[in-house]
Amino acid sequence: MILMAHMKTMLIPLLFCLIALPCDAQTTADQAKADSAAAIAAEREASKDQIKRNAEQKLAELVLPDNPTREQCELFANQLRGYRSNDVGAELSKRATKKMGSVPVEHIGVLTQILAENGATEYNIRLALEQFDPESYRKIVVDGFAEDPSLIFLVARNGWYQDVKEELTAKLKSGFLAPPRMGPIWFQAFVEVAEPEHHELLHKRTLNYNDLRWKLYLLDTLEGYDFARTVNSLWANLTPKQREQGGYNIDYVLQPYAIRNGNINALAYAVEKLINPYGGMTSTNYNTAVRIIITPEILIRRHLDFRGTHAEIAEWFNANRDKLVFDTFTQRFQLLEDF
Amino acid sequence: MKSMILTTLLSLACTLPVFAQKIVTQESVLLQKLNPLVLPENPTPQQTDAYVKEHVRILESANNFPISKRLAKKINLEKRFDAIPNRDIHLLFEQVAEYISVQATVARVIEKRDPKAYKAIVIAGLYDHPNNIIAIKHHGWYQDAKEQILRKLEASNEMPPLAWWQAFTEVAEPKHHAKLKQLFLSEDFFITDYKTFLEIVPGYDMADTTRANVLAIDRKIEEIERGERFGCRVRQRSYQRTEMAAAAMLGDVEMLGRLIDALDSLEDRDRIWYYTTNRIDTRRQYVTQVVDFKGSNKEIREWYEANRGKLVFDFFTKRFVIPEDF
Repeated sequence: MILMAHMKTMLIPLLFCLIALPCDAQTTADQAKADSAAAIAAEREASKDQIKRNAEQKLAELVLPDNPTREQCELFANQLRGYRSNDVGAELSKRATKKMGSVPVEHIGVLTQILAENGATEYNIRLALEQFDPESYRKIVVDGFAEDPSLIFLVARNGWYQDVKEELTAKLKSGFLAPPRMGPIWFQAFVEVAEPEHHELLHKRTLNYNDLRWKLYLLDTLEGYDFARTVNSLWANLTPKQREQGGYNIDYVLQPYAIRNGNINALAYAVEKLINPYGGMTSTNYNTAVRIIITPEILIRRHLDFRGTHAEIAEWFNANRDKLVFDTFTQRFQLLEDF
Repeated sequence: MKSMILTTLLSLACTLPVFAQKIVTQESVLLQKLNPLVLPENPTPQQTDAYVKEHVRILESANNFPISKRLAKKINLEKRFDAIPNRDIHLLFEQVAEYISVQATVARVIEKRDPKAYKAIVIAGLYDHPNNIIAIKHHGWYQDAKEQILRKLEASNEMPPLAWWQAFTEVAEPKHHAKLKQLFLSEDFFITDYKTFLEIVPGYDMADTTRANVLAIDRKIEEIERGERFGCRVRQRSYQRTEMAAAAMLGDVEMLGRLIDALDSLEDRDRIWYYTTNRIDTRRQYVTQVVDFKGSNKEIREWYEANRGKLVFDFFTKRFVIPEDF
C-alpha cells in the first residue's frame, strides 16, 4: 500500500513533467526563435549598411601621396584589395579597382607580387592590371624581371618571352623552382625560349609528375624535341603499383601520348583495361555524363587496324605482339608483313 | 529514499518495451516485404517485368543510395535477380543504365552469366530496348550488331547517349558520314567525348565538321546575345576557341587568324586568363603550336597581317610556313 501511495505521488508529477514541460518549452522556444530570427535579420541588415558606409568612407580617405615609395604603394594596394564585390558590393569594388590603377607604373610589380602570393582569388588586381597600357610598362617589366619573378604574369600576358630570354634561360639552368600554383606558367615560358641545348633540362623537369598534363601538352609540339624519349622513360619509370592503380595522370595523360609515340607496353596496358575495365559493367554505364575520358577503346581504334570484339582484339594482340611495328607517319601499329 | 530508487527503476522499466520495439533491422523489414515476391516457373514477360519493378520499388523506398554488398548479401538480392531468364535480360540492362540502388548488384548478376547465352537475344532486341547497348559496349559486339545499329542511326534525329554515339561511329560507312555530321552539329553543348569518337572514324572529313562547328557556335552566340536562346556566351566562346585550335591544326588559315586576333582580346573569360594560376595560357599555345614565328603577341599579329596571303599549311610538320617562292 505504501508503495502504491508513493507511486501515485511520484508518478503524477513525473507524467506532468513528461507531457507538460516539453509543450511549454516548445511554445516558448518557438516564440523566442521567431523573435531572435527577426532581431538577427534586422541586425544583419543594419550591420551590412554600416559596413558598407564604413567601407565607402574609408575608401574615400585612401589616397596615395605624390611620388610614393614602393612601401607606400604596397600598403595602398593591400588596403584596396579587401574591397571585393562579395563583401562591399559590385559598385564599390569597381571604384576600388579603378583606384588601384593610380599606382605609378614603375611600381607595377607591387600588384603582380600580390597576385603571385595569393593566387587566383585576387580578381580585383587582375582587373586593375588591365588598366595599364602594355607599352608603358614594357621596359620596366623587362628590366625588373631578373629581380622580381612575379612579373612573369605580365610577360605572359603580352607574350614578351623573347625579351627576357636571357633571364629565363639562366633560371632554367640554375634549376629555378616555380612557386606553388605557378608551375605551368613558368614551364610555358621555358618552352617558349628553349634552344636545342636546353632540351635535356626540360626532359629532366618533366620526369616528376607535377603538372604533367600541361608539360606534355607543351612539349608535344616543341620543334626538334625528342618527345618519344620523354614519354617512354616516364612509362618505363612507372612502378607496378602505379600501373595497377592507374589514375588521371597515367590513364588519361601519359598513356595516350605514350601510345602515339610507339610504346607497345602502353598499348598492352590499354588492351588489358579493355577486357578488365574498372568497375566491370557499371563502368560502361551508357549514360556517361560529360567527362573527358579517353577510353581504351578509343586508343585501340586510333592505333590498331584490327577490328573485332574485345575478346578477339585481346587474343589477336597477344598472338601478334612481337610482330607489330609502329608507323610514325600514320601513328598506327602494323604487322611486319604488311610493310 | 527507498521510494525514489523504486520510482526511477520503475520508470526505466516502463521505457524498456519502447526500445525493444525500435530495434528492427533494415534487412528484416526488407525481407518481410521481399519474401512474398516469387517468380513462377516459366514466367511470362509481364510477370518478370512486374517482378523486377516491384523489387526495385521496395529497395528504392528503403534506400536511395547504392545498396552495400553486405546488405545485398543479407537479403539474398543476387539470387533473386538470378531467377530472371535470359529472354528478359533487357530488364536487367535497364537497371544497370540508371544510377540507382541496385545498379552494381544487377551488373554482377549479368557478368556471372555466359555471354554466348544472351548474345543473340541482346542483339535481336537492340532496337526496341536501347539499354542493351551496355552489353554491346562491354563485349565489343559492334560488327555483329551492325544492322541494328545502322537502323537506329537512320532513325535518330538528335544526339544519342554516348554509348550509342560510340556504336554509330564504330560501324558507320562513308554514306553515313553526312548523318553523323548532322547529328554532331545538332548538339547544343560541346562535349569532348563525342568529338573524340568522331575523330577516329576512318575517312571522315574532320576539317569540314570543325569549321562548320565554329560557325555554328558563332550563330549560337548571336542568338544568345539577342535573347533568343538560353545559354552561356562565355562558355560557348571557350568551346569555340578549342574548336578553332583544332581547325588550325588541320590547316585552316582563317581560323588561325581568328585565334591570333583573340590573343589579347579583353572579352569575357579571356580577359582574365593570366590570373588563373596553375594552368598555361592556352590561347598563346594554340597559336605557337602551328606557327614558327617567335615574338610577342603584337608582333605575331603584325606578322600574320603581312603574310596571311602567303601562308601554306605543311601537313607533314603540321605547321604554317611561307614557301620560298614568295
